[in-house]
Amino acid sequence: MRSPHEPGRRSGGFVAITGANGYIGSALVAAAVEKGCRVLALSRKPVSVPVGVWMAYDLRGAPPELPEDTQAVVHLAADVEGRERSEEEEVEAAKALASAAEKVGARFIFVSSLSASPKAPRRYGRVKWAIERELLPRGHVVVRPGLVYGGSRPGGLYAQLLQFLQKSPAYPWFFPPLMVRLIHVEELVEAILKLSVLPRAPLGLVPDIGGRTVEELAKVLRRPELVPRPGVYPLAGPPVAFSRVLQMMARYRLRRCLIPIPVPTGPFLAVLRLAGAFFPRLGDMERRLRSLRESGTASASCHTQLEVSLRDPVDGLHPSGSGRRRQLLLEGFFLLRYIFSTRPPVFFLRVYVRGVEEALGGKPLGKPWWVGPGWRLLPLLDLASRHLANLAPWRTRLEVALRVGECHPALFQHLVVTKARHRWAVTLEMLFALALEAFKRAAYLATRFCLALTNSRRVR
Amino acid sequence: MTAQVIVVGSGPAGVSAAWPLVKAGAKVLLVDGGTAVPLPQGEGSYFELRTDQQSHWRFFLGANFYALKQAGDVSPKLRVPGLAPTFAGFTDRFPVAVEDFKLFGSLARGGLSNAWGAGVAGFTQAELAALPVPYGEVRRGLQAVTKRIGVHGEVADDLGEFFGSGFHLQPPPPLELPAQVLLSRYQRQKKIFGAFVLGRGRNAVLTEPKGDRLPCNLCGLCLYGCSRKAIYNAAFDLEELEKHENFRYVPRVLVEELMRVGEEWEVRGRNLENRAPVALRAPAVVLACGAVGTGFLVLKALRLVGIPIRLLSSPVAAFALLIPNLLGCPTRQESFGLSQLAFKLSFDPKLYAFGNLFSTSGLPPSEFLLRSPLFLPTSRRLFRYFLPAMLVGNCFFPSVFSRHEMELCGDGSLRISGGYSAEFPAIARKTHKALRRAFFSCGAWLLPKSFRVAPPGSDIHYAGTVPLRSSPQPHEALPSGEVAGLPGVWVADAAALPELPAKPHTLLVMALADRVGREVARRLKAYAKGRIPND
Repeated sequence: MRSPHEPGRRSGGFVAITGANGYIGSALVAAAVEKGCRVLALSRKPVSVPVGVWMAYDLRGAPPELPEDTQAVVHLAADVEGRERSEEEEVEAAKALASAAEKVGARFIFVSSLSASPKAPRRYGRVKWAIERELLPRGHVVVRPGLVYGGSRPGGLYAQLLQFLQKSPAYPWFFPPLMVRLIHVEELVEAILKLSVLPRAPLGLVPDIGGRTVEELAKVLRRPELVPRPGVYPLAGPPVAFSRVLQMMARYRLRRCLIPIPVPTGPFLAVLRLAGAFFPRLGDMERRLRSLRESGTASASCHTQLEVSLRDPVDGLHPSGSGRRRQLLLEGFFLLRYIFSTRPPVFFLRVYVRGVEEALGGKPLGKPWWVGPGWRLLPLLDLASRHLANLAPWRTRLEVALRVGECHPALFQHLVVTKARHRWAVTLEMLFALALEAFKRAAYLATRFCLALTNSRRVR
Repeated sequence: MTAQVIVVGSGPAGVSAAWPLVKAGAKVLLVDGGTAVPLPQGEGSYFELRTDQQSHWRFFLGANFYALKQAGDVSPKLRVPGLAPTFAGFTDRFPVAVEDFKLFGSLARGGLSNAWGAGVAGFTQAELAALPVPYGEVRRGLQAVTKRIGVHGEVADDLGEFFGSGFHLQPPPPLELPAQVLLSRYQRQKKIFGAFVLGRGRNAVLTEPKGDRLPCNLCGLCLYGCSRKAIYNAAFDLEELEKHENFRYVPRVLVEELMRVGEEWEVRGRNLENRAPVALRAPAVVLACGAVGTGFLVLKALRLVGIPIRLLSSPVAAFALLIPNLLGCPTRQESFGLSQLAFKLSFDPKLYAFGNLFSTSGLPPSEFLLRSPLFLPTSRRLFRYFLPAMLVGNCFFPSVFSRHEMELCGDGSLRISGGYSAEFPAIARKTHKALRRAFFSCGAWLLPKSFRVAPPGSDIHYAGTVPLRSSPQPHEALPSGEVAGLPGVWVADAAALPELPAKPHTLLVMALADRVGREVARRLKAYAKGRIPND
């Protein structure tokens, strides 16, 4: 048996993925193929893999015969509902798979859940916990994702919630809030891939560089991904109220506006539990909500360690997965509003978005502070972007907004004079505009002066 | 058809050289890049398009947002989507490296005249002292060309003589209010000006119908291309030429070199679509593919590698004028977008700067707002009142202040470096000051910081790479237009000019091309009769 940490044989090997047909599995297969990995898809039903092969695999059956050059095995397959297999069967299957991976010297990555716990309300969490206990002593990697959402092929709980929201006219507004933690499927997949294919330094001291540990070395090199070492990797964003998640799903993914119905959390769960005695489905729902709530209070995430940046759920829930267009629309709205001092025609904003896409590559420049009520401070950006190189892209956006804006008849009216006016009235109006500008510039200079002052004090 | 003459280039010079040849019965083959520049379609004026129709962002920005992609260019003309085919592909296909120089060229049918500002002027004998050509012949050419292309202008004002009299001129279009005010103030107190002369502009734009070309209707869309064909474009002449049997047009060819094959010249190039080699033969070749293109072909044919030659262009500056008395007047809906007024500012009896004043009505307001140092909303509030009371101007300087060089490299590519002479910054400052004073006396303020000198080469009217000389050096041309050392190769475009004055020289170039056409026709006739042509 070769050590999974043996360096030098990681490139180009297969990445075996169990449950390759599932929600996370299909996304992982696509991402791995895109990254240039050869994929060994393991599932009950065939999967077509552009670069790789499919092998039949069932949790009940024997572990598959892994190819010699398998570099990593990602274990995603699980009996979510717990109807077909016993807990022991699932644990045994995971153990057998891990042994198969160990045999060929591949890394083993087990995708668990934030709800994994010995006292988890659901069987799902308990099984995950049991498998974790078996794998961790053997030096394998465990990933614990939060509630997975997003992607073009919704699955799991995310798909069920979408299905519910698609039909329902309302959604529950729990109080006190029931907190959950989300992770976008693309982020999860990215993290798993990093754990499975990134070069991994052998554990222990690096003798050539003064006997530092690998962690120290990684810190010096600022490359945290150098140390994906065995252990538990929780992956989830900050806690969000579950009701807010439902509202965002409806609004940004389904484009539906639902009515919130206030629901007291504790009594509601109690009623569900009672009803669960008679209606198993309601009991299951109650356990689900409880396990969600528990995952919301789970430990911190390690996405920064893996250099995976988490997106805002509002962006992640957009069909594009990044909310790029929405950000561009918002940015265009406020830039035009600033330049023309009027609400721009919303339908026309698509011209701004397309213009930015065609001429500037279409990337939103992050989430600016002025999207929202802060747009009134845009003169600061207008001024600063003229002489600060790092704000130059915003200058270009302002230019695009102006050139696009003047092409709309209603906005063009703000650039021309249709009726003759008296010279002095015009002069007065212009003087007022100039005075306003002078005031704003003075405020800008004062702010800069104060900032410089506080900075110099801090230095002292 | 076995051609007797191959004309390279379909710009104003190319068609002007082709006309006398075709009329003399010579078999002419005209070869060029041939990219079609469709005439802008649609009804309505600039103001109507801007204020009525929502979908017209496509017209102003381009369906693929051409205007936004070209945002870095100096001139608003380079942002016009309709003119994109005019400039398209030139710098990609032409093997040239530029340094501190704005190079524009065209592979379009009609060449750069598709984007021409249409400014024309006549020349006096004194002005053409450096040109070794009998003035009578130039004059004849100027008159012929003026009649052919259709020019409007005024002879009776102060600039009438400067622009030249004795031409067939159409009446000028009505002046817009700011130009009217400026001109009347100037005429009331002209004694005080001295070196500054103001008058009506002269443009190759119709104000009376001519053939299938309609007169200007003041729609204000001059910048975007004239749908009525009022602004002259060499493509119109090409259309007429194609009706003649002894004329053949070979489009989509990029000419790469000239080779002497026996008694004839072979023009070699490539098809722009499939890159297949093209070879055309004739006893005479007339080069009219722009000063840069013609210079390139001549240097290549003479194998003058590594020898820098002069490239001329007129340094140009732009500025904005505000007439405060007109503040508060409404935006005009009718306008004429090309030169309304022109001015001449003399430094000494021979040296002068020349410029045009344009209406702001047909220009996108963003061009002004983005150049203003104020916040965009403040600029917007100011300029909505400023624009109807404003004029924008350009100011050209003679080419003696330019120091551009062009050189053929060993690998067959071209290297161009640009620059201004050492005394030019002082001249520009002096001009700025003199103009500010002169326009102030006419009741207009030259807006502070608006006078800006454009980077070298921005005027686009390059010249002087194969100048006519009475005793030519290699790469120069004989007074007849024939290139020294390349018998049978003629230069018919601005490359032939030995110096550039500040005034527009397109008409002069066309007149010289007309003369070359007549000369080649004469030689061909003599050749056909069996006589050895003499110079």
